[in-house]
Amino acid sequence: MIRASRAGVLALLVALPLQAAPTLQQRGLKALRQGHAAEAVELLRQAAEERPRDAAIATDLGFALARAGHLDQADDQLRHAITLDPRRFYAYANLAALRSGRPLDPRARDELAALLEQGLEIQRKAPGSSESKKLAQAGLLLALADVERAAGNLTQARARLAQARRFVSSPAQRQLLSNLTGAIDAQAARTELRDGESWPEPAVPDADRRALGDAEKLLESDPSSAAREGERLERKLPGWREPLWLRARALLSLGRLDDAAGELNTLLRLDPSHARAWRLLGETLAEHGGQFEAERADEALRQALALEPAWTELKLLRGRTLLRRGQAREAVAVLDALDKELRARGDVRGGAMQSEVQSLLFAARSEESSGHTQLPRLAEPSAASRDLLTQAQELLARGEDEGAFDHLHRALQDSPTLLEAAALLCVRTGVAPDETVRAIWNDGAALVRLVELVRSTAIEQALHTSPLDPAPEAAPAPDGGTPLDESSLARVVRPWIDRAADLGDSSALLTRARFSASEGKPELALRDLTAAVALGGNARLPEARSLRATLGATGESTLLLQARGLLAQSRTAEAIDLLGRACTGPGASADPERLLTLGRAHELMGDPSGAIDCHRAAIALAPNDPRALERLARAAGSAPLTLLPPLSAELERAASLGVMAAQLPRARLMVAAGRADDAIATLAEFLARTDASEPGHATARALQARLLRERDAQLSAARLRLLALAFLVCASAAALLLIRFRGLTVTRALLREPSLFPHVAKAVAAIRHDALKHRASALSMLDSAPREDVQHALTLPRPASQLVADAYLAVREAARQLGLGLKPLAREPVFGALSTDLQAAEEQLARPPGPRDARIHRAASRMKAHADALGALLQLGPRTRLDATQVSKWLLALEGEARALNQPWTSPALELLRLDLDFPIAQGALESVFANLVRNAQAAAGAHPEPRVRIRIDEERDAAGRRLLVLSVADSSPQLVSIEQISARESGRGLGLVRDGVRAWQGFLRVRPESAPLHKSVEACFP
Amino acid sequence: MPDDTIRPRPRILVCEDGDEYTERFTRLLGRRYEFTRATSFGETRALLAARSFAALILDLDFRRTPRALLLDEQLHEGANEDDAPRLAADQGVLLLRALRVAGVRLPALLCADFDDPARERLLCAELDPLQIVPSSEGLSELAARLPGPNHS
Repeated sequence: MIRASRAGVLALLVALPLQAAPTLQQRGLKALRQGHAAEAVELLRQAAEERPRDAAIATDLGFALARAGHLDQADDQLRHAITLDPRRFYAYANLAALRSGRPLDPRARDELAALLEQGLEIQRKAPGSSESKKLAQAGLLLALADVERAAGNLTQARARLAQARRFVSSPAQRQLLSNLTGAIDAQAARTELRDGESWPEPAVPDADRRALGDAEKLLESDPSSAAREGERLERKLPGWREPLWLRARALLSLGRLDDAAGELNTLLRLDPSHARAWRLLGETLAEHGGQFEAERADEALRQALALEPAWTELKLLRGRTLLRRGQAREAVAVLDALDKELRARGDVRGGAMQSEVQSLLFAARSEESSGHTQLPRLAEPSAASRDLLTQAQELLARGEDEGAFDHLHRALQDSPTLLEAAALLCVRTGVAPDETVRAIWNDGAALVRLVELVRSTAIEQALHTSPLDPAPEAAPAPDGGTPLDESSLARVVRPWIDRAADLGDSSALLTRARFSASEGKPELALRDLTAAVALGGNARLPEARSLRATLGATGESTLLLQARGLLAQSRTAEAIDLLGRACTGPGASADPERLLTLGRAHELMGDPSGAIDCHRAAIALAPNDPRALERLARAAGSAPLTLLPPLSAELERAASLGVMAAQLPRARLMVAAGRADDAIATLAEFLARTDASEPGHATARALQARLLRERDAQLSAARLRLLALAFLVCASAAALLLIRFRGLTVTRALLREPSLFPHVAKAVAAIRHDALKHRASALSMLDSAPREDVQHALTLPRPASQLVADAYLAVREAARQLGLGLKPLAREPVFGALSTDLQAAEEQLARPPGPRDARIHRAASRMKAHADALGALLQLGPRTRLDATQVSKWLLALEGEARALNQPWTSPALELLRLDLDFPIAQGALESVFANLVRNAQAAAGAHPEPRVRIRIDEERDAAGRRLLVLSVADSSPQLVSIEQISARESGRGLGLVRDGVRAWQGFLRVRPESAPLHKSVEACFP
Repeated sequence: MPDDTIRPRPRILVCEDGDEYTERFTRLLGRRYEFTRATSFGETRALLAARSFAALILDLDFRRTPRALLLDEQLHEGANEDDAPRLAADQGVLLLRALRVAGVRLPALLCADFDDPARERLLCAELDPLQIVPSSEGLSELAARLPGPNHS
């Protein structure tokens, strides 16, 4: 059919009368008519070289090139011809014919349409004869119709044909018009099939199924191979859908969009309920198609959504597509419904989609308010024209038809929209007034009104013709027309009805449906009925139903098909009316399929509660129908959370039957129940076993991401808490360790600072005497003496433990003054242990006798150990060995000092009676005692002639058996000194230093007389 | 039948500068011994002359005893005021030595921590019968060192 139409255009062009032309052009055209295309090209090329600015030659050359098969060159040449003279329609028509025979991508189609529109506009404004303009306009409109048809825009194609019909005058154009009309009807009929039942699929051998499965696996990695395999299987088993589906996706991956769209179209012809194919087609066309594909894209999207209302993101795409097409009002409706749906759902998806919806809504509303223009109202007929009409009617009544027709023509020239005049003229002459039809061509209601007027006028005229008064021989009308009979009337008004129907007038659709029904075309009638119901609302419904009943249509399945058609046109409310509204209660349908369709309609309306009711009703009728369960699950997936709890049983059953769609609402319920981990696992299964086209896939992904984020946050918080706890534990342990190991034991303190020893020795002596001997020794009497007597001995006048504590406190204070920190008593191993035992015994003695008296026995048994530990401390006192080396060294220093100060120095005699004497005193202290004793002796001896000094170091025992280490320094000074005198010396110098140093280290001084030449000795004695 | 006859308890003479020993011994060992206190050499001699005792217990340190009552063996030729604390600190030894010189042969317990085994050996040999009782020793052990109640 397409070829026929193209051939028609070409024939038209060739048949055009030739004007006087240069020889070369004439010869070229002649060769062309004779079928010698190559020769024609050569001749016309030469002609074009002679006259390069001649648009006619350029056009002819383009035509000849096309005939010769040089399509690209022909295309270039024809566009060149248009550039040379944009008013010449032949170049446009040729170009259109050329391109309509070639596969065009959407952009090329858009470009061609724009070019033809431009040519049409130029023709409208161009000067010239009416006939030539008509010819050109008709040619261009026919070309445009063909382009629209090729793009699948059948409504637009019909509109173009209707426009062209007004200008077509030549036989060639009439033929072309007829061909195109047939082609469009055939295509529409094929399109209708898509809304029908699916075609049966062939039986598929297992081997081929396996081959398909293998090819599916190649889809991502090697789409070329997948496409090839799909094609092979498609050829082998025509009608099997899966290879088509595979091949379409593979071609899409390869960027072969037109081929992919072709595959999808074929698939959808076979299986119009293939929602995913509709979706893919819609997405592809919306994303990659041009303006021409926008209508098909929208139709595909609508079909997809009618089949699967849960594809929320598809609604967004549809709104976007509508907005791009400039259909702001429709875009607002779609986006507004989506906005409400998202708000109602409220919990699952992030705000990204909602914010995009909002911004698109804003844009759509802005465009709607600024760009929406009402069709201009038809100009009101003037009063003069009405007068002329009245006069014409009077003249007709008097039988003065000629004058009447003249009045009517004048009236219509003044006011072409005076429809009564046009109808009267049409009925009486059989010719429709061209100016009226042109004036109301874009006003469907006016066209219908004109039809009605023509019809009523015809009836009126018939009534005025008495059967007894046979009509005279139909006198020819002044313009050659004749009065209309009924069949002629139908023929005249049919284009107007078609036009009005194409413009969406519901009355015209209904009327055309009647025509189609009467012509034996029930499919076309049903299509128009559906559209009429959609456009006409409830008012048209009874009439439409009545007519549908006369079509012998197929009951329930047809009803469902009609409903789906309405849903696909976004006429949801009408679809619900058609299906009977109620899903439950007395008037509810018992057909699960119908209930599911009703549920889908409710979903599309944004009424999830109603949708769920319908789906549940369907499940009640067919409890194990996985489609019903899946439908419910998908509706629940996007429904507000509050609607979900009652669906738990159905959702669980759906999940157990492997309905993946149930996992999303189940997961949402789990989240609501605080079972986030279960929800994450459920969503993971859902996402793993479905692809991105599954409704709710994006929602599930967003929900999973949110849950994982929250779980991570909780884990992080738990980890932080654990870390904080661990830190506290560590800090506490460190503090305890610090407390435990803070400070020095007395032993370590003595090793570090020997001058602490006298304080320790004093404390040990006090503890031995006061705490051990006089108190703790009573503990061993617990079993043989009254308890209170033991307690009395241990605790009065002060508890033994307190005495230990006091003694230790003194040591600690002394250590502190020496820059040492001792441990607290409780953790000091010698004093602390003793104190603890004593305290335990004291506490236990305060209690009645009992098993815990063992504490007292244990404390008593440890007293010897405590005493030994105290004694061991006394062994840690400093020891300074005073031998010849040490003494000589000190003497040398003293001699040097004396000589430096010019003081007398007498070399002392040295008597070391033993060589291994260790003085219990720190070296510094001993050196100080030694030096001052020697200085004192040197000073005293030096003041007299023949000075003598003697140093003796010895060991002895006193009367009490005590061992004494004695450092004795004697001099020859006759001046005596007594202990009392030494005691009276001021501290810090001479013998005062000696006195203080000796006492500090638990020693004592004594003065002894010596035999001549010595007089006395001062001795430092250390026990 | 049990012998209910009240037998005389051994008398123990306690030489100390205060009354802590006596009081404690009496309180805790009073059922078995009779303790009598003496605070100086003169008083000790008088009590020994007046009554018989089973043993002597001597404190070593007589710091609270007036200097005039302390025995002074002229521990060294240069003894002077500076020696007074040391004289008191070893008074128990001096007192026992004086008693031994005076012919008192009673067993003696000297409560002292010498930290010097050589000194202990010397004193025990010189002042026999003498036992040195360290401060860590409990009263029950000390009592075990005393002659038993049947001791005459």
